Amino acid sequence: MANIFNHELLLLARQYRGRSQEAVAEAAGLDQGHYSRVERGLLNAPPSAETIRPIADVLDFPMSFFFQGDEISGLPLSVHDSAWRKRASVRASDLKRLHAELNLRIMHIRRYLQAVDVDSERPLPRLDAEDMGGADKVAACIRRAWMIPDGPVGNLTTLCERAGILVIQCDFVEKIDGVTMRLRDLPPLIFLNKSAPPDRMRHSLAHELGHLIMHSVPTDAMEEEADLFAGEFLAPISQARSDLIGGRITLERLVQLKKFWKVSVASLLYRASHAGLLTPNQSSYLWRQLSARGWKKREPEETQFPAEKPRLYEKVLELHENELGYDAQEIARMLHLSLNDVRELYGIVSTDKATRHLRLIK
Amino acid sequence: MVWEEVARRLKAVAADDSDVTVLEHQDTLSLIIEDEVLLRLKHSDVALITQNYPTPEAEAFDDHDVDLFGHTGLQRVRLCYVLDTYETSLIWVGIAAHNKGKFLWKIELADTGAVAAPERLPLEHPETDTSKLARLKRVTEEKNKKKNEQ
Repeated sequence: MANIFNHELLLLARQYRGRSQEAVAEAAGLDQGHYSRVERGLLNAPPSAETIRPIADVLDFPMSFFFQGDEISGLPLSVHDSAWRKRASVRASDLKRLHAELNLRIMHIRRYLQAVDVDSERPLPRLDAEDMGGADKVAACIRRAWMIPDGPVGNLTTLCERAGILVIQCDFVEKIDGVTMRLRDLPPLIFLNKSAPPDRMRHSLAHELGHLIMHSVPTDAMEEEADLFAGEFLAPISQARSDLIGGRITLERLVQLKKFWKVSVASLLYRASHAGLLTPNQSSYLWRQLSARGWKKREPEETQFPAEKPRLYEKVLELHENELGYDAQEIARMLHLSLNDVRELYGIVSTDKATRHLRLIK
Repeated sequence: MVWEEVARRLKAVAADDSDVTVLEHQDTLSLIIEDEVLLRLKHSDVALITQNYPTPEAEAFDDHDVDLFGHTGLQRVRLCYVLDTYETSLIWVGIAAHNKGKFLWKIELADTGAVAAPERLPLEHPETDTSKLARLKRVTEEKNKKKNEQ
């Protein structure tokens, strides 16, 4: 632990709790101007323990949290302005909370990976969509590189994990489906909103995979490219086309195909229209039907397939608990979190120390 | 033009094959294969339903209880080709069966022949257990071992 107070972590902690400077200062019994200077690192000398302790208590973080030396990352590449401007419903406060949670998660992953190595079995190349002739071509190339047989992708989460990607499910606000981060000192990371339905979560994972492979700088076209990548990776149109030809395309038929390809009805409809398999009139009629049934927001449970569960990061956590014998208190100490947060974020509940047992590794 | 070219080529193929008989009609071309199956060449939309106005003859083709062209007992299917929106390229070629205007089934044809229909349910692949990709670092293992031995 560094001995220097890291004011950026104070900002992060406050944003994570979704509280204003005013509220925290008042609850901690500090003048707001003084608190603001502490948070912005504008004091002439580091803040005293007497100043930090009440703030830490109010924010429910241990004092040690504010003395870590981690660098704070900005919002991920895929959360760039032009893409997120379209989602006007994502409030600025939601983005601040997201930024804080991502950084906290990253700090935790760093701590966890001090004791655990993560291997990969599949390549994760960087490919430029323009050079490859389009994002759909990139998707086809990755399907070949990962030796995915024709037809639907069985378990996308497993495929990503085999490529060394840590897939982590989090509690994000409803409008945020997933984000990607590629950092110098960590394996590639994809965070997904665990409250999203399985069809959306799978599309988000493929979309974020597209970002990881194709994008290192933000561009106006990146979201469209990632969507095209996701669609083509999960259901290559050259293969899905045969399923869409013959008989009228109805929502009921798209539901059947959804179960086979494990992609949403909306995605199939979009791709069928895009591939010229539907006339503009048919397409517009089906979109209206989809909208009228409320399926644009969430497709019904009975059309869903089972959600995929990440295993790799779970195993990293499990190794700490089962192999290294960490209990909730020790994990809280390692991550500089309160026991409440350990329970909330990782589902690890504090138990009586006496019941804990270590296993000998042979 | 596409239709004419396809018809011309099919006739050329049929001429070399004694098992194929060509029947030319007013609006289309049919082939009888091995005296068992009657194939009618049609330009179709993606629903594989004829693009043309349904003539009584076309409707009769779909009614398998009615004999057609003086041939009885033949299985009647369509050899369909589907063009893109601008009718500049083929997007699908295959054989489709209908009954009284209702689509029944299809077989896609590629350059190499019939394309196997995909399995209707994803095949169960043996799932890889990705948890095996996470392992304790050697140093950690050793430290842990010493800790346990104390």
